Amino acid sequence: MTYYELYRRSTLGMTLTDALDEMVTNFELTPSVAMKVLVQFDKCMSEALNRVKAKTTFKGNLGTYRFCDNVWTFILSDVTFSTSGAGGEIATATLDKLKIVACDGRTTSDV
Amino acid sequence: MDVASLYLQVMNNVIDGVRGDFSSEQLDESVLESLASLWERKLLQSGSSAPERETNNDIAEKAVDEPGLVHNEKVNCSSEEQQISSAAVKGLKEDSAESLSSDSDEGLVDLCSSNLVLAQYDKVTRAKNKWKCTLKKGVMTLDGKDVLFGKASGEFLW
Repeated sequence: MTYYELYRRSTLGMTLTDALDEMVTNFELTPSVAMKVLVQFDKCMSEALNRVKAKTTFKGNLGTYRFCDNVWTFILSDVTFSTSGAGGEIATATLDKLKIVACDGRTTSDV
Repeated sequence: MDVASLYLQVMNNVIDGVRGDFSSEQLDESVLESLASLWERKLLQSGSSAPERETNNDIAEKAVDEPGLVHNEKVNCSSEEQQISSAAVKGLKEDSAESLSSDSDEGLVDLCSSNLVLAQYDKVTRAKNKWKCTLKKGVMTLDGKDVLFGKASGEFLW
């Protein structure tokens, strides 16, 4: 089973990529092992997100939209968020600019 | 579950998951450990998952241990910004550079405070200029803080 590589761009993924880069540069790791670690990360991140129960709603103005290769990209402005956590607490945030990148979540039932 | 503890789980799962790959490549256990600690250190430096309400004192203390590093990163970021804006100023000397300058403004936003949502969509619909979308399994970086969601719905006007 393959998993999306999308989450490599998250903070957790970027910091892992940085760490791997550094170790490959110092000849502590081979690039092929580093790739295996990233593939493992795709899987673990996806499985971990299955356990997240928090719900978020957001509203905003859509500046740019793009649908290419089954990936939606939205550039939003003046976005308000509200996230309700597991304990029922609600966190809100307002942002000037926001980019959303979303892969197709329907084709793969469990990915 | 808060972001920091979920991240910790992912890190442990990844490290455990590649242990077999490492040993079949004849890599020492210490290499795996140094990867784990390097990753953890970089994550702490990013400050994205440091709990706002100090639920995990350990992480908070570690983050305080290295204020210099965090500070340096910010300095780098702003100097990068300055370089870019001076480049934009150079570009402006040519008359046609009006559009160029607005382009580089967008670049700056991307560099220093990129608010990014990575997710998977269930449905995206549009009626006239009203868009609705439902997302799942999302990781958001909002003002430098990471937030996760299981499901999300959004409404926007174009």
